[in-house]
Amino acid sequence: MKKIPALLFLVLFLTAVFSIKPVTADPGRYTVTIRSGDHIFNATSCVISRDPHWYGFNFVPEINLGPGQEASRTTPDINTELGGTPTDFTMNYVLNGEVKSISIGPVPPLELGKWYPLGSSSIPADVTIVEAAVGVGGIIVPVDKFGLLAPYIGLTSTIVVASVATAVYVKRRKEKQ
Amino acid sequence: MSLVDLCTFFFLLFCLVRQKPEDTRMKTGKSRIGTKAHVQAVRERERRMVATIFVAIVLVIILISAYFAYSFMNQQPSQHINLEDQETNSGNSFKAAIVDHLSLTFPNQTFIQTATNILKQTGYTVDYYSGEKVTVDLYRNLAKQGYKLIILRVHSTATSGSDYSQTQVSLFTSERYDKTKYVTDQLADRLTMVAFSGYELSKGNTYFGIPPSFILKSVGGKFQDTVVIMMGCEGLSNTIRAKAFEYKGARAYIGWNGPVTASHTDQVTTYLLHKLIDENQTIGQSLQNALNDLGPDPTYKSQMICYPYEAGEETINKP
Repeated sequence: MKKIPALLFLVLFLTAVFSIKPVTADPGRYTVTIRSGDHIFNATSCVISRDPHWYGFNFVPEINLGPGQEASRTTPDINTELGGTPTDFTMNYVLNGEVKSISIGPVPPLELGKWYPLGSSSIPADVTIVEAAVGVGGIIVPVDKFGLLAPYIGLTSTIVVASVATAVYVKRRKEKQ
Repeated sequence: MSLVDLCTFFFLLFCLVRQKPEDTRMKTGKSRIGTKAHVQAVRERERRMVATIFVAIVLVIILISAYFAYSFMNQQPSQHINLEDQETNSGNSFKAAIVDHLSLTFPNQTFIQTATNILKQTGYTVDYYSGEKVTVDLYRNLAKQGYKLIILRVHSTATSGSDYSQTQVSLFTSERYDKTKYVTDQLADRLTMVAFSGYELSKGNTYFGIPPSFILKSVGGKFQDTVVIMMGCEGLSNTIRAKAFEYKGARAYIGWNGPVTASHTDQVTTYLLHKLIDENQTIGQSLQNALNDLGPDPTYKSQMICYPYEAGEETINKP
């Protein structure tokens, strides 16, 4: 009989443990990527769009230097984090055999879908970040199996505790009488 | 009231009612009973206690069993696929299904119309399932419908959101993830949770996903020499899903070996249907021609391939 309070404490402890929601990956940090092969075209600001396939976001910039002029990208991928510190983006590209660069920023902590003004540019072109070429994928999220069972464990514990408490109560009442 | 609160309540209740019998006797002025009688009383008390606990445990087991039995029965194929928007198909006709989960995110009526026309002109009857009808039960009943061709225009992924690692391919449903639904399937890894992106995950927009084990163990019936065209990402980045369809009776499984963009998968699938059905080319020829004429996906460089590889020599069944 003396073990019952300890048992109850154990049940309470287990119930509390199973009620705690497990910590998952921090959703506030994503990687922003400019991929080779991306394009830049006329605009006066830039926006970050998302690529549904990947866990993070990516830039898809385009360059348009006017009719008949095309630029090929040479810039390696650029990564930063949404919600991070202000960031400069510089992209290099080849125009008429000459390597040029264009920069965006510094921009404030990046937010999805917000338009940002352009920073300095070494060539007469503007930059925008347009919608990414979107994949038809996604991500698989691991299922929290303890979370699935927690309500049932809690219910079971509650019923057991209630049953034991009732039994003890009835027994004591009878003894009193 | 949370579970912890409830348990605390019962614990306090227990503490309140708990009193030492000796103290009670002293207070009530009763004389001490004999040793033998006392031992008997203790034994009797213990016997009753054990009996009470036993009954309580049995009750708990009954309750839990009843719940799981209810859950299990509830998730059986209880609902027939709603065909109210579709044509009524005769039993022996060649049937094709277009499962258009992408209609929710990347609607393309031109693709649907073109694919439907190609199939109908050959004599197929076509069942079209729009995005909101793409539920767990739709997949559960898919093999029973007798389709010869199934076009899965659905989001799919083999990318694990926790570490970007590659795993088994899961098809998306439009059914919101709910941890109280299909519990036994979830516990047995026959259903997964999927999201379009990490951003969508952070907003809590998650859905039930269909892994290969669901096709193997939870799909009722058998496919009838069905050709499955899987238009989503990474459908054939590994062969586990393809093998699951093959095990359930599919003749060939066509899919992408990596991520793919919506526009490219629509374009290539339309081309493929044209080659397979209008020109009666083999699956292998059609895939090779699609690659030659349209190239790999411009963004992800993935290609459409088929499984098993011998199926490349086969053609599509036609009425």
